[in-house]
Amino acid sequence: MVSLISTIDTGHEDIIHDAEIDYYGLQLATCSSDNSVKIFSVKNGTQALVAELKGHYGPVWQVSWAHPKFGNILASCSYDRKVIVWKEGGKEWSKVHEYNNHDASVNSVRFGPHEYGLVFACGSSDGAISIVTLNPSTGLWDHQKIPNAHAIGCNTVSWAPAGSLQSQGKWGQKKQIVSGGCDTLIKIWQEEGNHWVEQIKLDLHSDWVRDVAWAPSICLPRSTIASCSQDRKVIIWTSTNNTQWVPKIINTFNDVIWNVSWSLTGNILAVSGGDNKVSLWKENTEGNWICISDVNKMPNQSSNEQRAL
Amino acid sequence: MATRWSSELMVAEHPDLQASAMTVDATGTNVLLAGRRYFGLKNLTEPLDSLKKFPRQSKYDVGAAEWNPHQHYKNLSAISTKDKVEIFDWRQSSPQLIHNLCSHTRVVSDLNWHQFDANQIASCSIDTFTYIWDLRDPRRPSISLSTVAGATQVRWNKLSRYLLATAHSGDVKLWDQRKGVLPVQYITAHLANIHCLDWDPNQESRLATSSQDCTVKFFDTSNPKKPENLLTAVAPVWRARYTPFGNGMLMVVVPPMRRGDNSLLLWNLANKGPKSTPIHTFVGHTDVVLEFEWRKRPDSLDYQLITWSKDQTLRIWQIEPFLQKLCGIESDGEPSLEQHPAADLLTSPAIVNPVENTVIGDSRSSSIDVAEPNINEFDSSLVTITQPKTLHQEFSLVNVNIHNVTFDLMDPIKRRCSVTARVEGNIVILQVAFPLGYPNNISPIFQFTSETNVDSETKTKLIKVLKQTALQRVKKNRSCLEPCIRQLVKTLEELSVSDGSEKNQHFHNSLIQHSSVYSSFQDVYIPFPRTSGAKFCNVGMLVCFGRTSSGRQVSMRNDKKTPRSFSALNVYSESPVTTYYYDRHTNQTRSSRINRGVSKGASQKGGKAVLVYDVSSLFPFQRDLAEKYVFDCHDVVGMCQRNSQVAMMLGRKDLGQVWSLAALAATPPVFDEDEDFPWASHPLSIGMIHSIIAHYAKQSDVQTAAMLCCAFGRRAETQGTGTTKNMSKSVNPSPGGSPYHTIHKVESLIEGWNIPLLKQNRSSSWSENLDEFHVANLVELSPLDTEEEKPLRVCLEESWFYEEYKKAYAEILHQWYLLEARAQVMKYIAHSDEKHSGLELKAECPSCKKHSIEPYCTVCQIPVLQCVICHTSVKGGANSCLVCGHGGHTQHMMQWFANNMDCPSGCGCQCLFETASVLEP
Repeated sequence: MVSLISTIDTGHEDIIHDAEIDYYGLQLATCSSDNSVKIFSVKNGTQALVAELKGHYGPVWQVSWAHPKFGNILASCSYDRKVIVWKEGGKEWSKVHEYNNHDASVNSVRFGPHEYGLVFACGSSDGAISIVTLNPSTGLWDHQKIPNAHAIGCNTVSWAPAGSLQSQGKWGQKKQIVSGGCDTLIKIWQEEGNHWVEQIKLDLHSDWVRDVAWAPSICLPRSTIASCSQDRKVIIWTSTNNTQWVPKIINTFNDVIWNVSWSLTGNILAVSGGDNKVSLWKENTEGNWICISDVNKMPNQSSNEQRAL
Repeated sequence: MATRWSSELMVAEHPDLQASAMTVDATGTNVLLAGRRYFGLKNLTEPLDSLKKFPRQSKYDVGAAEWNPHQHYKNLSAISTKDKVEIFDWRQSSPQLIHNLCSHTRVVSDLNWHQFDANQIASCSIDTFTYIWDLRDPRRPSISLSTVAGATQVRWNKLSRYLLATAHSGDVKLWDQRKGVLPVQYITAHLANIHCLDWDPNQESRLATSSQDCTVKFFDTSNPKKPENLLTAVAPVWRARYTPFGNGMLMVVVPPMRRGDNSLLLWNLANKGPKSTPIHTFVGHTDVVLEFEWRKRPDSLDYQLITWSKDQTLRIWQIEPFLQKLCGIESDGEPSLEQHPAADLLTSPAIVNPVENTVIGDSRSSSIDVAEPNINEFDSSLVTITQPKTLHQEFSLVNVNIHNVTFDLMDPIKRRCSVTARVEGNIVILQVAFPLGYPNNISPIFQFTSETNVDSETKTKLIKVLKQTALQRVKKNRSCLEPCIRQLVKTLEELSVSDGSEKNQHFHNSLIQHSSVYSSFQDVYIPFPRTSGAKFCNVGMLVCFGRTSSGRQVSMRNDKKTPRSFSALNVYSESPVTTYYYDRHTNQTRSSRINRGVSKGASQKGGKAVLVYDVSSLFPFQRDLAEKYVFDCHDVVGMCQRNSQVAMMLGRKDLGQVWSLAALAATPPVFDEDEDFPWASHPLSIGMIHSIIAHYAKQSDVQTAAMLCCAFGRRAETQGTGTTKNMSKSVNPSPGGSPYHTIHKVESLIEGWNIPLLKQNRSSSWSENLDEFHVANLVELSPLDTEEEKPLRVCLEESWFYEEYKKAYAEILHQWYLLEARAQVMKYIAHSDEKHSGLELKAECPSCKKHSIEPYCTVCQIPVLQCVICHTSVKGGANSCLVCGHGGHTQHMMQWFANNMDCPSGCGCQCLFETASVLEP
């Protein structure tokens, strides 16, 4: 059975837009329309506010944890056009880098696989995607920009897992990201030398793409990407060679879909959207995606939370 | 003259209907007249049948009406009224309202049924949205097309099922309904409003637009920059549609100030060029023609034209084959248009179809007597279309609906006119006097009145522009008032825009400075904030957040799709997202009172809780198994048996079975003379293990797959004999301090240690880590070949995805913080593709004390290492003591330590011993 470990009252003064727990499952980061980011210790079901990070001047849309080998590092992106990288030093959290190279709201930020060093990608409503890397020898943050990645705006970015399928073929260890935007397209980008080159466009959604997630492809020799959109559809894209992608619409929901998230082994997908519902999807042996649960997460109803397998 | 071919004309007057829309159904039998108070339904097959009236209780007028064009759904009609679209079923004696499509927020300006799918209808509104509805789910639009300007017309392509066009003042946007985010094509068609759009019934890529600017333009969507053809009319064109026959077009013009002729003009589109004139004119309506429709009679070749006018008469005009031929239709092998005796008609200004006095219903109607002067008037006006001769004519032809301009006075007798232009607070009042010779090479005189509030510089500029424009026209003896006024407004707008852009720039800057202020400025392109979400974190955690239930239920009840962009929020409120959901909530207080009672506290806080679920039970791998599994590369059978016991103990009987099976497979066979094939190729041996691994991998059970890979895989190096870890149960080492400072790629250290170190320069986190894992243990792990030592005869061949399973399992163990188990698994991974990067050699510059990895200090330009023996800088091979740091050329060091134990520098360090003690326990 799925069980509720803890309910954390974040005390944010406005709606929460994102929440993520770190690599070891010890700390929770949340961000909100009240312009703040909060960090809670959630070790063994306990909860305690560790830090409240203020530095954004607009609603904070997304947070992302870096791999712990770089230390306790968190990135947040906001309506105020900035990405801020926060780091825990001693017991204090402080801002270590502020990236303000976008002309509009930054909608998505995600750290890349730790094999590539400390690197994050972010997508903005100005249509551009930035890839910002910490240069370990100089201690400076270098950035590469993909201008006009998406017409109207870029809504989401996600990293391809390092190694796995790519490391076996001609793909080598090249970095890849997938992005989605208001032009209804999903695009896959690859680093070629100093530039990021568009590899392929995936075109099936009929409205703004809100989230994309590249699955950790460890169990099967294939790449998988999940995407969701304003058009209420969730699409799973699979490829065995990273050039031909086969789409499968797993469902058309009642309301817009905002989030897709893969489990660690890439076999379960969590889907959530405008109707405030979360559902979990799993591929059955026939290759169809079936809903294995409906996590109803209203605070006052969490007790009768149930799951049907 | 023309009476011989206008035999059938019917006129029916229905003054009480006040209908504003008319539509003819798919079969051509029923005409629906829709007005504010009544629906009128008329059967055209029974001409004497009087109209059926149905009262319609509504405060609002009908904007557009259309019957469903599909045979099976011909009983459905759609009308737009205020911000709604209503679908009526007419099968019963009275209309039944079956759907009420409401999502528009302002007046619906047009609607159009899909040409191929009877369930789809498009509606557009000045609220900037165009919605496509599917009647199978009429609660909300299936597709919404959004622009910045209100839409006035919407038309589906007649040949392509996905294409539709919308008109937005003077522009046309083309959409693919599969891709509703952006228009696929954008045509800047006219400078004035477009009144009517029509697709060519025969060619998918062509459409015609008719506009207030008195023209009809024809575009090819593949090349929309320039119109292919242009028809110029005497007045603003209200409707212009392709004829169902031939290559014709029927046009309705709105005479200026509603004085003049209300005829319908038929054109042959084969006659291109500005000189082309209508081939036929239908004269009779005494007021503006609101709508026309075509009807084909099944029993004859003839088409009928049905028109509805503001004069409240419905007229039916017969289109005989003769007229159809004029439009270019060819039938029965008859001579083509050019050879036709009537071909000369094409060049004549017009053929006028006078009204015949066949009257249905009410007897009051226009008569021949009324019609006669019309002809004359029309003839004379046609002559002057191209060039008004008198000032009177020019005034009457001026399009008074120029944006930002009002004509205050037009006096043809005093030969004066006065115009006011208002652009963003600038008011220009222009007085124009027309000298007697005008427009024959004599310009009018322009003057600004004292109320004009622009500076003198602008005034001079404007006068200059006006004079130039006028001169260009009057040189050719052409009238110039309207072009002058348009030029004036344009110039004025340009001037104020350049002012405005500076303001915008300023605004933009201030926005960056005070970015906490919500601006709707760019918010249209920013996605609507997520208010709920779920993320998988760690190994088996699901983090969820969302709105509280009351907010959600309200939004469900309202049954509206969540908006696309951030601009949908009330941008002035302090916390817009909350307001968006909870304002709706307060509007529905009564219905959600129960909910509020239950979750009062929660709803006050507005969903600021984050829920963390343990979903590890959804995954096949288990932490307790990971804690108890054992590794033993020498005794594979024993390892499998013990793991079988572990699985059994933890209630995983299935895995217990698998491990016992694995143990059997690993057991070397009893030596048998008869056996002529090796055990490894036995079907119950290694092949079975392969399929078991593949099975569990497919199930995403990385744990079982990786453990089997380890058991039967090759280990990268042997354990030193007598090490206690050989059979160790993996336990959580629970190290002190923060876990985050640990780097766990322990096995990769080995590579780093046979390089002589100049000076140890490790981060604090590294030393912690090394302390935990006892450097000595690691040093023993020299990369010896293991094949001979393996007591096992079965061994998995190299397969890259087995490596992946092991890596993935190691990652999971890492996240569980089972570091020793992870280290054990990592030992089975053949190629660690990650090069160790945690240790690096650095030297300290003797002068500036800065660290450098180069042989020279980048700042001081001096060599950082001096040989302690020869006192020269070292460039090549070097050795140094790990403790005191002294060292030098490898050659010199070897010579020195051949005979000595202590440091050549005389520092007293026992270099050989000290370095050895760093590397050994």
